[in-house]
Amino acid sequence: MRKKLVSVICILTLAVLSLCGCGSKQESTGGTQTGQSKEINVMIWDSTYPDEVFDQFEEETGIHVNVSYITNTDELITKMVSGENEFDYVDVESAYVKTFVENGLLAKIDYDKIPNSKNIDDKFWGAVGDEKNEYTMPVSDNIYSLIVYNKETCPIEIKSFADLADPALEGQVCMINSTISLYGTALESLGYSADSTSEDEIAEANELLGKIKKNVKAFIGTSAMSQLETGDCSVAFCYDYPYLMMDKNNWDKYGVAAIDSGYERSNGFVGIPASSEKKDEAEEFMNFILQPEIQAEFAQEAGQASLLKRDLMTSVMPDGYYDNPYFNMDPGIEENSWHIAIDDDQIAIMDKYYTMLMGSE
Amino acid sequence: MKKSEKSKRAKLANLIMQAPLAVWMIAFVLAPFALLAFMSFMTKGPLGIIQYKPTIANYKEMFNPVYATVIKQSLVVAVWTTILTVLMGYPLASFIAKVKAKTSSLLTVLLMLPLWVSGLVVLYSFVILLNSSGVINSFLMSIHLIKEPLELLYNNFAIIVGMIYMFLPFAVLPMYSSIEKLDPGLIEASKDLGAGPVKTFFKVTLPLTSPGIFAAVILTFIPCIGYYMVTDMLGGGTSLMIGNLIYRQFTVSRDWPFGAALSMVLALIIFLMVFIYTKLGGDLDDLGA
Repeated sequence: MRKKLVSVICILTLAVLSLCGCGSKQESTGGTQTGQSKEINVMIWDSTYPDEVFDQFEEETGIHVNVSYITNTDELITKMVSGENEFDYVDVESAYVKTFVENGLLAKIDYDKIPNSKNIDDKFWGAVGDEKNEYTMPVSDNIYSLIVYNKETCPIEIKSFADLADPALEGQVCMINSTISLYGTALESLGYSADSTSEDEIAEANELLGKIKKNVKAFIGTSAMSQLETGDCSVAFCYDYPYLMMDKNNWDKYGVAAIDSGYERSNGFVGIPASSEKKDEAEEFMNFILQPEIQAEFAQEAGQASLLKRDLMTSVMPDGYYDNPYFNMDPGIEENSWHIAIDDDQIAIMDKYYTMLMGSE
Repeated sequence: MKKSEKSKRAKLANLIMQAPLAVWMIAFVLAPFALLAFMSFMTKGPLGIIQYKPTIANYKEMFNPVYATVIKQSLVVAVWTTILTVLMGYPLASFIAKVKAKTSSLLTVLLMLPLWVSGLVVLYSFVILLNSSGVINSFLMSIHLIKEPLELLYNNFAIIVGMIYMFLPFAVLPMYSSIEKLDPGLIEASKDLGAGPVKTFFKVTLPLTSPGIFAAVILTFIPCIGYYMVTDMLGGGTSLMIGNLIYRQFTVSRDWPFGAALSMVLALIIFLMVFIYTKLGGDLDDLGA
C-alpha cells in the first residue's frame, strides 16, 4: 500500500514537473546568449514593436532582449501576482494601469535614466491610476473605439451610440466583443460614467446593447476590417480606423461618426515589474526606443502617428505620411475621449450581463 | 530459461511498454483533471488569484438562468450538428463501404484531409468562400444568377455548414467500419424472403449498423458541445456557447474557480453521454478507447 502511495506521489510529482515548462512563447532575438552577461526579458503585444529594434538595441548597448508576447493582460497579471514573473519590461494596457499600480506590481521609474522621455507629447502622459507617471511610461499612440461607417452603403447618419439600434441598420453592424469597450461606451452614452460599478446602470447599458444587438451581424475579437471591406457590414464599432487608413484606397470610402457621448481612448504604457532585477537595463531600453528614428519604425509598424512630439517626427517620417486622415481626425475626438480603468467588481458585473446579452435571442 | 523467469520478463516488458502511456495519461489527463476539480471548489480572490477557501458557490452559480441558457444553447447546437452530420454521413459511409477497395481507400483519405489542416485555417477559408464579396457570391453574380450577394455568412446556415464540415469525418469513420462488417448474405436473405429495399434497410441494415451510428453520435456530440470557434467565426459570435463561457472565465472575468466548475459540468455531460452509450450496448473500442 505504502509502495503504491509513493509511486502515485512520484508520478504526480513527475506530472507537475513536466508541466513546469508550459507557458507563454518566448523568442530570443538576434545573436546567441552564450557569453552574454546582460539581457532583459520583455513581454509585449505582438506586432507593435518592429523586430529590428531589439537587434539595434543589442548592437548599441550589448544588452540582449528576450521577447515574449502577451496573449491577454489577465495572463500577465496572474503571472506577476503569483510570483512567477520573470520579466523586466512589460506592456500595460491603459485600462489596467490602476490595477497594476494599486497592487504594487510595478517599480518606480527613474526618469533621470530616460532623458528621451522628454520627447513624448504631453497628451499621452498620466494614465488613470498613475497620474504622476511614477510607475508607467506611455509607449504608443492613442487608439479609439470609433463608429466607422462606409460612406456609400451606410443608410443613416449616426449621431449617437444608440443610433446603432436604428432598424435601418438591421444586419449591417459589426462590433468588437470587448466587454469594457461595449459597456463603457453604452454607459457613457446613457450619461453615466464608463467606470460605473452600479448594477442598475450597467443593467440599463445592457438593455441598450440588447437593442443594438438586433442589428449586429457579427461580434468580432479584435478586427472588424474584413467585415467592412468585404461589404458584410456597413458600420463597425471598432479600433480599426488606423489600420483601415493604412490603405490609401480607403481614405475617401470610410468615415468616423461624431457622437455626443465621446470615445473610449486607450494607449499603451510600459512598466518595470517590482520583482525585476534588471531595472537599469529596462530603463536603458525605454530610453532607446524613444529616439525619433526608432519611433519612426514603431509608427510605420502599427500605422500610428508616434507618441513623440510631431515636430521631432516629421523629419524622420516618409513624405506624406501625415496626410493620412487618421492623423487629421476631428480634434473633438481627442478632446471628447475618456479612459476606462478596469476594476475587478465592475468587470464581474459586466461579464455577467455580457453573458446574459449573448444568451438572449 | 525457466517458465517463471520468462513470465517475469514478459511482465516487465509489458510494464515498460505501458509506462510511457501511463505517465502521459497521469500527467496530462488525470492530474489536470484533478486540479480542475479541486479548483472548482475554491474561491476567487482579488485580481483573480485563487483563494484556498472551499466553497460550492461556483456550482450554485450555475443554476442562475443566465448560465443555464448558455448551456441549453450549446446543447441545441451540438444536437442539431450531430443529427445532421450523422444523417449526411451515413449514405457517404455506405458508399465508401460499397466501392472497390482502392477507391474506398482514396475516399477515406479525402475524408480525412480536413483533419490534416488547422481548424482555424479551415474556418478562415469558409469566411473567404461565404462572405458578401467571397468566391461563391462573386461567381453567382458574375454569371448573373443573382443581383445582390446572398447572405451566406454570420447566420445559422454558416454555423451548420461549418460544423458539419468539421465533424463529418468523426461520424463517417465509425459508421463505415460498421457497414463494412455487415454480412452481405443477410441483405440477400432479406431480399429472398420478399422484403423490399426500404424494409431491408430498416429491418436489417440499420439495426446491424447501429453500433457505428451510436459511436458516430458520441464522437460528433462530444467535441461539438465545447467547440465555439465555428459559432464565433462563421456565426458572427452573436450567441454564447459553453466553450466561450469557460474561456471568458479564465481570461476576461479572471474567475478560474467558476471556469473550472463549468468545465467540470461539461465533462460530466460528456461522461453521461458515454455512460448512456455503454448502457445501450455501445463498445468503447469503437470510440477509440
